[in-house]
Amino acid sequence: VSGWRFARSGWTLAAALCTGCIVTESQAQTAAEPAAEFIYPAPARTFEAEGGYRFLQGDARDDESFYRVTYYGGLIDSRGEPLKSAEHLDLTIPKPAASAGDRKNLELQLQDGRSTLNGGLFEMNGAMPLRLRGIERLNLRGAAYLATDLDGERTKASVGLESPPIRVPGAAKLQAANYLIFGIMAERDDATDAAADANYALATGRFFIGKALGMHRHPNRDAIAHSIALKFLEQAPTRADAVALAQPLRKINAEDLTDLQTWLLDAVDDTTESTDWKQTILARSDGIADAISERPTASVYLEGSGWYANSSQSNEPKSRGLLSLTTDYWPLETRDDIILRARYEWGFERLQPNLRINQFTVSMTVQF
Amino acid sequence: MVGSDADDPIDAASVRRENRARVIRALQTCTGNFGDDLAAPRVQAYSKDPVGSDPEEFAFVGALPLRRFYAFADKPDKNDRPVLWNRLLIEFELLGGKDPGKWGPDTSVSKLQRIAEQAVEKVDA
Repeated sequence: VSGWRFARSGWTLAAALCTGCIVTESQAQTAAEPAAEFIYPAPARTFEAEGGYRFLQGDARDDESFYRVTYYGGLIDSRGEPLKSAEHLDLTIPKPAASAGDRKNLELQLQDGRSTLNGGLFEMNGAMPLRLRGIERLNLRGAAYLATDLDGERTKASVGLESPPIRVPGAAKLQAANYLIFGIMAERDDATDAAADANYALATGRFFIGKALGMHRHPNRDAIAHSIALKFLEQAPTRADAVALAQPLRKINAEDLTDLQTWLLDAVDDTTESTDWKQTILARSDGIADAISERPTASVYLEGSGWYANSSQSNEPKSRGLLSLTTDYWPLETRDDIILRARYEWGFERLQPNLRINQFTVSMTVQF
Repeated sequence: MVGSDADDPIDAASVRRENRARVIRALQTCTGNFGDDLAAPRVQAYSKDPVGSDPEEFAFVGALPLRRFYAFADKPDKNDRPVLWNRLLIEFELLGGKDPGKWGPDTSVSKLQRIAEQAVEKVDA
């Protein structure tokens, strides 16, 4: 994985061993005062297959088993990954600007076993940064949403604009990843009964607050170390190369160096011409991986989404929302891709705003 | 000696390793620990023998983010940084070295060491 603190230093880390950007990248990244950063505790940049049992609350329906297959894209403004296997980490990615968390660029979800939704639901939710001429500073994102029940009786599709993440007041004191995002969308509601079709505008909002708990040594530490060593050796296969690479770095103020640049200087300064460069880099990468690749044992996160529809549909509520509180637990010491998950959901799906969801689910999740 | 301008590269390397131990001592004085539970035994072992420690341990200690020495992930914050900087000045036998800022919870020990070493060089110059 990588949902941990590796995210922080780990990404900062490799930022710049790419020769071309070794100076400019570092200076750009550290221009501002370092801000508090938090591990993003929810899954991102991964496929999940989840199967479990749903305990329905507050009505007469029977409990039921369910499965859910989900793809979570990367966080928009931190393209590396929190909770994802380290082998997939791109170590050349600079430190994220929105390190306290951001929404994912794409979520695809297929879930079955939900009797209230004609047996199942497919949902797609995505967003991407836009540079709108004249209002670039607003950092707006384009957003799209598509949901349909598996019988194809009802489909909702919408496109619109969203704000960048706004930090939840007070969340920094809890050392919690967090964001608030607001948006406006145009939506098409397409039903089997053509008379029920409608087009309307939506105001949307979503929030996230979550925290990783109980850090421990990362099970994929060896893969992380290997990735780091590879980055070093790609850029500086010999000590002579490293010495040459270090020359321009020495002219930079220490506070403006990236971690990886600092560690490269460390390696050069701590060795001599007779040092076995490859061997020492392998050893140092082990040490660095240990330092930056802690892993959470559990995480807790609260997510919410809501909307207000400026719709003339008389049988549909104008405003609704869905809250979910999730706890993930990594039970195995040697694997970080198996998760026990407990989740409580309360509210309404956007596709079916007349059907209240009030359920507690327990599941086992495998990440790919 | 806290500067790293020795002509002999082996001496220079030893000085840098000793300097890393100075940073650790400063952190330990300010926080009361040698890092979190995972890190502390290795940091302590390094502190006892910085020059003789393996390269892996030198790199491990250097890569630790400062927050791993504090109880909270958003520390050292604006209140903690002046205290730690003053302690570094004492460890580096440096009077009046100016804190350049731009460091915080996610700054590594290694980078803080370089910041302190550059402050020494500027005072010496």
